[in-house]
Amino acid sequence: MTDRHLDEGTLQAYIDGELSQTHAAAAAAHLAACEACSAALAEVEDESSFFATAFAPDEAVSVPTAALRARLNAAVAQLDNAAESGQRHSQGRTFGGFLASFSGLFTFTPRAAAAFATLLVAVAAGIIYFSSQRSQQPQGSSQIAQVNPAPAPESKEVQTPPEITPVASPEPGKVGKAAQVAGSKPRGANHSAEPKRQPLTHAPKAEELPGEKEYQTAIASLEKTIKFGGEQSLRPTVRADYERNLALLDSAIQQTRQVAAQNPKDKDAVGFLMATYQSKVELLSRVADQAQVAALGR
Amino acid sequence: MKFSLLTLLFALALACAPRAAAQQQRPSPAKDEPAAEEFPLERRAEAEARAVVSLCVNEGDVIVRGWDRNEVRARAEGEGTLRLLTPNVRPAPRVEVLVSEDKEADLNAGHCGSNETVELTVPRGATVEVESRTGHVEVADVAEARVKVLSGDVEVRRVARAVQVSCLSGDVSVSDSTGSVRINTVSGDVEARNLRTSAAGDDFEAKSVSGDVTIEGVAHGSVTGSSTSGSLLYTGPLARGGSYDFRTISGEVTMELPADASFNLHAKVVVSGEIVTDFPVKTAGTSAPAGAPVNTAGMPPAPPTPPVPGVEVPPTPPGHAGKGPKGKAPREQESARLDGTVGTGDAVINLSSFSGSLHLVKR
Repeated sequence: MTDRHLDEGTLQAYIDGELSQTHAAAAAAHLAACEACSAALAEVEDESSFFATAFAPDEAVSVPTAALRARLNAAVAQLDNAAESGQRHSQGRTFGGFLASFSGLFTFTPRAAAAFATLLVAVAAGIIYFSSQRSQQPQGSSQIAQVNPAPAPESKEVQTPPEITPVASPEPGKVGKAAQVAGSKPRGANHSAEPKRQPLTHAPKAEELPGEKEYQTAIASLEKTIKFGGEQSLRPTVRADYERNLALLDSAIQQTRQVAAQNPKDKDAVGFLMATYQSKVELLSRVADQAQVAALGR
Repeated sequence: MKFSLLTLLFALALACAPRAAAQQQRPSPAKDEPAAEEFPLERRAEAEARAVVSLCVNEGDVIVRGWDRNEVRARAEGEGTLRLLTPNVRPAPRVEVLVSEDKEADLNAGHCGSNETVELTVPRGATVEVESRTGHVEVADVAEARVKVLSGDVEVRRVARAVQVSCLSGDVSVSDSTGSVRINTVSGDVEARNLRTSAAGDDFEAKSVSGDVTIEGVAHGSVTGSSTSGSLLYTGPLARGGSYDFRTISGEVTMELPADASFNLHAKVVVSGEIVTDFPVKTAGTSAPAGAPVNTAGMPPAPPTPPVPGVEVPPTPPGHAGKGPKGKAPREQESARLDGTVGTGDAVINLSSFSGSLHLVKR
């Protein structure tokens, strides 16, 4: 251990007290004799202290991952209740009441998710800041540009939902299969053709349906969370599954939205749209949850 | 020399005989129980009959079984660390099982480690909480099972009170159990067979994005299934007064029911797809002429014309399913609805799809 420099993982484990007594003693002996490793240790300590500050609100409670998870679960539960109450009790209710049930139930969740995502954005920005400060010390002016990058312009391109394409019927004259959502499949073929993911844009839309904005906010927050640490933590096969199903849900959202927007009084169409949003929130929550667990090194 | 060799062989045989006899008398492990040698790590803790036992595994398979002892036994493969974390009370109301592949790991609450296979044996009345990121999970003979898996199959059998399974990438099978059941998958298939209620209010719910859902012999009063693109198949009788809700975006919903099934039907297709039934449905809210095939194409396009109560829609004739009026081009959006009663309407079936077909099939 004294001959080789200590790698970053070992240094991190040394700081976190995760090394065994023997290894810790050997690492300490090496650090005492090696200037390069001492310097590297100082850097790792700086990063660690930064993370400790950033995650302080969560670490204040006894089990940080549980707190984070509870927050996400609460967010999902709120949305779940909203979707269920909208779907199950839709029959025999007025459309106004149906919509009101959505608007009343989306007050807390997206904000919590947004706040959570904001924290993570701050953490990520901090990482960029520290790394740029270290690697580009002489270029003082460019640091600012890196620390405060101009916000990536929200996609302004108006993306029209994919057309509901008529499917060539195998039987001449057969009606009733005129349209299919991309990714639909015959029973038992759930690993077949994969739809390409077409990310939903936040381009101006004709009219947002009640409850839709809250779902979109929650989805945006969760996507940010995943972007800053989540997707990479998934195994390649799981990640492929995740991407495929996300594409499926995006496609379904676009198509159900198109129909719901044309006829907002069709509670079934609106119900399908909301249910699909709900499924997407649930999927993203699971992956975001995984991201948090991975980020905290549980 | 010859005598001494024979004597030596005889002596050896005598020396080995008791050992061989003892090995023969030793009870063999249960058929489905791995030999103890496979699990060099073992820990035990006295636990309440209804203890909550939890385990988080980063990578590795998990097998949980109930037994008739108020004790939790955890076994793991390899040379890592295994710890049972309990409150300072005996018998313990809660046991957290901690594993690690690292021999010298200092395991604390909330740790999620790895091991090739972890086997837990818990009291039959226990609630088991398993969280796994990668690996298969099997749970059997416990009171409650709560399983959360990111990648891996889940199999749950003979659970007495409640089942909750959440899985991102993997198939889920729940069978021979009682109590409320909630299954949520993303890409895996769901199979639920032979399930009953254990208390009033127990319900069944299965949800999937792209996986297929098969429900067979589920006797719950409230059965709900939903999918985005996966198919839903329900097979079995309907509970008197039961409620059955199935919805899909683009998958197919099929209910295979006994010929004497009695129910109120509310079926709706939003954009496209067929409603096909083997049962004669007495309608109360459509003007579909008697004898017309009951499918999307055969139904009057939305909005429906004023209802003509009492019209009975006969079963879809063979070969008619999905065939529309001749010479008419498919409509861009052609919703269909079928509301009516079969028999005396002892149960309620709500089927809805965005662009998938709905089938009611006589068994």
